[in-house]
Amino acid sequence: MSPTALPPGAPAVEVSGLRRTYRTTVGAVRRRRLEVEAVRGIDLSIAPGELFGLLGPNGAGKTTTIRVLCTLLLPTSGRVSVLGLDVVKDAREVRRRIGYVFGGDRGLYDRLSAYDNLRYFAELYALEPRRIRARIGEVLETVGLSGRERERVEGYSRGMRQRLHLARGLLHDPEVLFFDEPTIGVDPLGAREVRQMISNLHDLGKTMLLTTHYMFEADSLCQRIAVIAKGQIVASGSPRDLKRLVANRTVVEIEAYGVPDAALARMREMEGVESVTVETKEQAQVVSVQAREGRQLTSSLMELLTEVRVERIGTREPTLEDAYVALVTSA
Amino acid sequence: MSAAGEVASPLQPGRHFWRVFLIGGLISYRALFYWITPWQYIPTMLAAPTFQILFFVYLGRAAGVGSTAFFVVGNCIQICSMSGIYGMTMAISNERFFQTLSPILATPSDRLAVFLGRGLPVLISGFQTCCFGFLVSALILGFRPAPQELPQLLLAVLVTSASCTGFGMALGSVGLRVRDVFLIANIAYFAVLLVCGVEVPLHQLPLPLRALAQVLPLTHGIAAGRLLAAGRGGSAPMLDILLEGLVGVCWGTAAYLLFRYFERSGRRSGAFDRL
Ligand SMILES: Nc1ncnc2c1ncn2[C@@H]1O[C@H](COP(=O)(O)OP(=O)(O)OP(=O)(O)O)[C@@H](O)[C@H]1O
Ligand SMILES: [Mg+2]
Repeated sequence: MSPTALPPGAPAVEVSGLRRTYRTTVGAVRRRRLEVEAVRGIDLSIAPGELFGLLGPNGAGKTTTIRVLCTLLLPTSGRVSVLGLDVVKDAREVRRRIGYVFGGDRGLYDRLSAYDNLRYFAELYALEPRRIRARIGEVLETVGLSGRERERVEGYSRGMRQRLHLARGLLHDPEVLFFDEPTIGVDPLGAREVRQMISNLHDLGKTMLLTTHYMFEADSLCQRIAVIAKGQIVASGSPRDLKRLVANRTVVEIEAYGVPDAALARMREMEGVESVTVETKEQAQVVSVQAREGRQLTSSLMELLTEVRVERIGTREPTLEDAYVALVTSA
Repeated sequence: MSAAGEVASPLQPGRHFWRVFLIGGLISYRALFYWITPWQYIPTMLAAPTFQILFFVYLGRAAGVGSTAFFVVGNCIQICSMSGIYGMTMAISNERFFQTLSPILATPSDRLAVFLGRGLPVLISGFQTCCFGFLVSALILGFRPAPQELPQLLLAVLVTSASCTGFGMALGSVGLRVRDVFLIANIAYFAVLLVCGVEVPLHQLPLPLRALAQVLPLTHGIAAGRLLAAGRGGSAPMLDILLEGLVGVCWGTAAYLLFRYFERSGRRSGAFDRL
């Protein structure tokens, strides 16, 4: 394909002032209209060949943004273009040149084989008939499904389905790819392979936008990241830039059993504490306390935890996840 | 991914249309039509319709109403709606179940070809069911249509299968938006049995039902079939066949417009693939 030349320096993906509102109704008898402002004025610009990450909590508006970019949703207002083409006016041309890969195990024809799933989409993408067979072979090879392509998809594991989603997105060799949580539900080894594939695509010069809830994934793959919360971008930059936002903080990590909510509440109120998050790891809880620089919190934290079995306590360098937590909790 | 240049060289629109219509249609039929394996297809598309024919013919004989030919022609043509109504509804609205509508609409494909492609296998299957019904009727019930009108009779059956498919397309489109479209399909199946002159001569129905029959598939096709089976060829049955075709085209057009409307309004509302 000869890409309609994008002027030098022009972004491959450009979003300016994007807003998207959903109208829904609640209640069966007395219907009340409800407006959800999913995206509230987003600006983004992705350079050709860039791998860009979109992070944010559930309901932040990531999928909404991606679906607008993929021409599946109309913007309520704002301008969105891909490869210089308007996603509203030139939808068909945009569709020819982008790939859309979403996570989860729906969206495939379960009763067909992987091969026939791809075959159907090869026709829909108007692939050159003589090339279809070979092309399907190539993408199956790329995603590591070769040899299993004649099996029905209903017997596929989650990870295999995800690979098939990926294969479908690559069929027509699009210049721009959108991934919405591509490793969701995939086991750690499989997820690593998916990341490797994305990384290979990056080496081939594809422009990509990726959403994920895994910070290390964004950290290892993306050159630039935007953190989005409540429909707005709260920070953007390279993973390094974002980490710098919390570089002056100290993180105390406590692994303990049965930390009462009251203790957590007292921690949040402590002088110098910016945020407290809890994660469960098997039976234990991992409490991360972010504090402003130079605070010596360890002993005062321990005082709050006299009743609790503390496995481990220590300080560590802030990670991208800490930066993320800081950004979305203050948003 | 060495072959970038070749892979995406756009196919001529005409060729794309035909390939999506024929090849794509067949693949999507296999993907979405539920009764596709022989042990599903034979009972639902062949055995059950055969019993329907036998049931009404023997009922008519026991009650001493109607002729064998009346019930044979009515039922043998009506059974195409097994495919036309249920099959077609599945072949479109099951996209909802698999949540494959978004990926399809994200492609630059020709929508008309995608949509019409769904209909062709359904039409063929419906025609096949009718032919099977006539064959069984000839063997078991001694049904003998006028041999000189056989080609036109087949034409009537084919056109009726097509118009039934057009009607099913409309239900399928509705099913993209409405959750319980199969309830509607059930009602439709039995409604045509009553309204379209399959078991009851039209003139015995109340006026509103008779009026409804005019715009439903089957009515005109069955009327033509009865004339032709009785050896009454000529312009009367041809007019009926034409009307049947017209009814089918109208339903099919309405179905496609509805589909495009849902595509457009879905982009506005964000309602694709929401169960
Ligand atoms: N079709 C829809 N109709 C109504 N509201 C919707 C629709 N789709 C999304 N929303 C709402 O819009 C907001 C943003 O949703 P969106 O799916 O874009 O979030 P997200 O960032 O992708 O979240 P997640 O991480 O959970 O996938 C949410 O409040 C959601 O409830
Ligand atoms: Mg999402």
